[in-house]
Amino acid sequence: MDTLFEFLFKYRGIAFEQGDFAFGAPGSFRIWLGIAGVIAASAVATYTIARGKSSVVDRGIMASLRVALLGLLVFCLMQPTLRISTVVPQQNFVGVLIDDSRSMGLDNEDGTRRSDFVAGAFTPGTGTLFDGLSERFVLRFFRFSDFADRIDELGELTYDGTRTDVARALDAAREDLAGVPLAGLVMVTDGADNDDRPLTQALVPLQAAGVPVFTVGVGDEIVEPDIELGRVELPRAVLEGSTLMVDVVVTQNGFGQRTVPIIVSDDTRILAEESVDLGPDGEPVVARIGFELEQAGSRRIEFQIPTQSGERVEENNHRTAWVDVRGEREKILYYEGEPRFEVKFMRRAVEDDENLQLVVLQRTAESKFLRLSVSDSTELAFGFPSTREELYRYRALVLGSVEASFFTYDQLQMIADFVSVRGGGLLFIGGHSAFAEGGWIGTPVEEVLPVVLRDPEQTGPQGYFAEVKVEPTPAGLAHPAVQLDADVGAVPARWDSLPALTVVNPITRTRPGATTLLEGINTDGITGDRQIVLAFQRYGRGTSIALTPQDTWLWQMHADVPLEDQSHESFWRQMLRWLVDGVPDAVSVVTDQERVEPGETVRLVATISDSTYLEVNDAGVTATVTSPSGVVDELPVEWTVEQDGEYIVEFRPSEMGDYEITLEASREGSALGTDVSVLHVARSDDEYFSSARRTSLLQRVADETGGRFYTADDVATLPEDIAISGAGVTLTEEHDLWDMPAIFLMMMLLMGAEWGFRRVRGLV
Amino acid sequence: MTERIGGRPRSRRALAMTTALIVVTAAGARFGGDSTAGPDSLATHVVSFVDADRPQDLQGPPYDGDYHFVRIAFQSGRGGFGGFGRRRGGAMWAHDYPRADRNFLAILDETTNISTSRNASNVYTFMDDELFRHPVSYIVEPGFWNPSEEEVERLGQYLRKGGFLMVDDFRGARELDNLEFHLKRALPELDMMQVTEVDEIFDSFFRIVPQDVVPPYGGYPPAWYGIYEDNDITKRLMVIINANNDMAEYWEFSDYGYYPIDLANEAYKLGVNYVVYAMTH
Repeated sequence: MDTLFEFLFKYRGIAFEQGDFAFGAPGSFRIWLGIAGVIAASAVATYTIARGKSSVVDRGIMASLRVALLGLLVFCLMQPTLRISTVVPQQNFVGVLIDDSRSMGLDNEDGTRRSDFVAGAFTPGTGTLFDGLSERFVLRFFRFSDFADRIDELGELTYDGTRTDVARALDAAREDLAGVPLAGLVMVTDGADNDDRPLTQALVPLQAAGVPVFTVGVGDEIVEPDIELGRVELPRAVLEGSTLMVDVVVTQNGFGQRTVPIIVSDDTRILAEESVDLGPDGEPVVARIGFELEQAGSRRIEFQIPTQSGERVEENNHRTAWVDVRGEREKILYYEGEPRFEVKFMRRAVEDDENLQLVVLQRTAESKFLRLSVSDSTELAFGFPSTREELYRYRALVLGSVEASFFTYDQLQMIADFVSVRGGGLLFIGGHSAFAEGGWIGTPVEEVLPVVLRDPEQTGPQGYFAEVKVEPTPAGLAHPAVQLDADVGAVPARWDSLPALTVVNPITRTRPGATTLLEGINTDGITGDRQIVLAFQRYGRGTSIALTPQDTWLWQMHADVPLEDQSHESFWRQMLRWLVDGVPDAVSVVTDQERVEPGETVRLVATISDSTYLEVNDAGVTATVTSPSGVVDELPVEWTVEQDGEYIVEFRPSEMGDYEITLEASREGSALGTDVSVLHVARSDDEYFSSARRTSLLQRVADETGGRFYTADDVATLPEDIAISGAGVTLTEEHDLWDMPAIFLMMMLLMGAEWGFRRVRGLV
Repeated sequence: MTERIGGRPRSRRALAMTTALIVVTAAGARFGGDSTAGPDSLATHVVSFVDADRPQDLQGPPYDGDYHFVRIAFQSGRGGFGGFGRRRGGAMWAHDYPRADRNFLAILDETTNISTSRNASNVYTFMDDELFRHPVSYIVEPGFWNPSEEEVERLGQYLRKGGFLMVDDFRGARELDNLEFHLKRALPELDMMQVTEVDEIFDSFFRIVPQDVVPPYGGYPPAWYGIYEDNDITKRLMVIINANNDMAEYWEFSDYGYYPIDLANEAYKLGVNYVVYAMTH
């Protein structure tokens, strides 16, 4: 099509896009318009006078054809021209940016490599583009992957970069060539960018500087046949013995909707294996895999789909993730206002869990308490904590059937702050004195709860009592806390097998932003709003959960539940682990990336608070970094000033392996706390994921900078296109358009049409 | 580690007086209509189930999430579930029923925060599914207990799931031996062990010195036995056995003045401790 266009109009379309149209004949446009009018009038008059056998319509058609022909002639006499700004040869620079990442080493469908294009196009002397470009421009070559730098020859390309950062490459080339007349940038890449930085940040300066980017896409737009194990997200830290439910995204092209296994393993054994039914071509499907992490320490978890016969890219069949399995014993305070069986059975459910310490403060009578599982004789010696320091020692708080009036206002505010400020988990359990029935409406804690409390007067003096059959919501089926079976598909049946529970707190609405995981259907058959059984919401830094039944212990004790059934134990173990999951310490340190390359800069971000979880800005903070070979480096960590309690330091790991980071914080000579984190330094396989040519990204870069996108098939015109892009040092050229074959053809067509018309109408 | 705090009376005597006051108050004020009813009238009351195969009409109020006092009915080889009486041809399981059960519930309601009521009294056999909605149960006269295979299997399930059984009102080595024999059938891997005075069950609500709990009759020295989970005395008690004792006897007649208030108090305290312990351990 482009060739035909160029044949008809002498020049390629881009020349008309870049150039300006003008007339070169002397005289004003009005004079020429007058001349055209006179000629047209003469033609019309001629056909009007010489009537012959023709009708009025015949004469009208023939006159129109003749006027059009004469009009074209006048157009040519006006000497139409195309004014194009073209670069001055060898006065302008062009930066050539070549993708040096691993994905350039992938094979194309025709058996060639993506990197073969670079050798074929830019090898001096033989390269198809090199000669055309070097005739017009001074060339500067760059390579880019996770970094970008100048190269003198193609031999410096390694195609071993583990990331592709298009934005950084454009920035680097623009800055490097800022002092010279720049006609444009040529970017040769598959576009498989895997950096998070917004591209706009790199494009805006180029737009401002008027530098067009000409992108050359290499590689296939669809890589097939291939299976890609896409996103896998795991929490950074979990409690030892926790069951993780991990969503794994799998996409296939060219293999059809077959079933493949996903194998999860650590360094020593297979943790889980799950089959996944692949979706249609290009359609990702999500597989849910559950597995338990037993041993404390930093664990490397591998997800793998066995390589299928004929697969184009094998490296994208596995993903690696790291999880810090913590062996601490997390302390949970359970305050129960009346002796009831929830206490007994909850304690039993988690008594073998070495990572949970369920401290129970049981009110057995007015002002009479029983303390269970306390660490020492002083713990809770004066009842429910009355200071933040005392309450914040716990990572989670469970409130049973206890009326709000038991607490002072300060304690109620403290409970709310426990969630929002300390970041702890709060679980509110149903009972005679819980929720609205316990007078919690209007307290500071009401706002924390994920459910809407209904005025208890609406339920009448008899109170409310209902038996509900519990079932998970769609959100619940996807939540690890309510997975009662390792086989995800068996979870609904497990819930269905459990006996009904009873509720005395009618709760049917959640707060905006809260999520319902379990619902209850009244067993009396009376239709109505479903009871909210389990709901949660994030509140400040923490999580609040409402569990409205009063007797989950029936899931253990009921006659219909087999003795060996572990549903109750699993439920409470998972619930309490969820409650303490992600609860922050007063002193914590994380790295901004879980895994980095050797030499890559990593940022340590520490959050420092005192025992009441108020951020501290004047702490002395030191990070002790121990390399895999045992080299110890002490780094002072400084307050950022921008955010209270946030301290940052950067460093560059040089060794492959795990770096241990120990952070210590103190103030005025007293320790605030310590935390340990692990940084994994390893090569990345990111380049093999989403490795197909990303045309849309390359097209966008070209469009937004005034450049053009090419593939290997149409890249031959690139040198000329840059030449007429108008950027750099240019001069204006005028090109005649009157001799375009299109005009000649049009004239012939008009003449032939008139002659043909006469023949048909017998007017010859 | 278990600690009890708050509400601790200054002395055992003071506690006894406090409890006695509650007993008197509860018996006089709350038991109202029953205060004139003696054993004869109770016998009249229960005559309707004397010859029933199963005590269906005694099952009591339905489950409501609150604590109910559950008495275990069993066949003692004296004509089905038998009638009411004290080894005079009546049902052995029904000794002191229902006054003891209801008096105890009233005391429990008065002294603790446990949600219950005087009428929350049920009678079930081990074969009743409804029993499994009440994790604390009470059985008497185990010397005459002769459960079937199905019953001991159900008892084993009940206890392993988390149930707690209080055994009361028997005396002598022969009856204890009969009890141990059947408990062994229900829980073959577990042994009956002595419960010492330092066990948490004697400190779960009141501080109780077991030696101070004097049996109402019989002349045998009182002793406490139990079955611990995994035969580990640091784990939960699944069964508590009042050997050579009868706390329900005190409960039944606490408002009659048959027994000294101090002794009745100790019996109530023992029962309260058992229930609080069972609800928390």
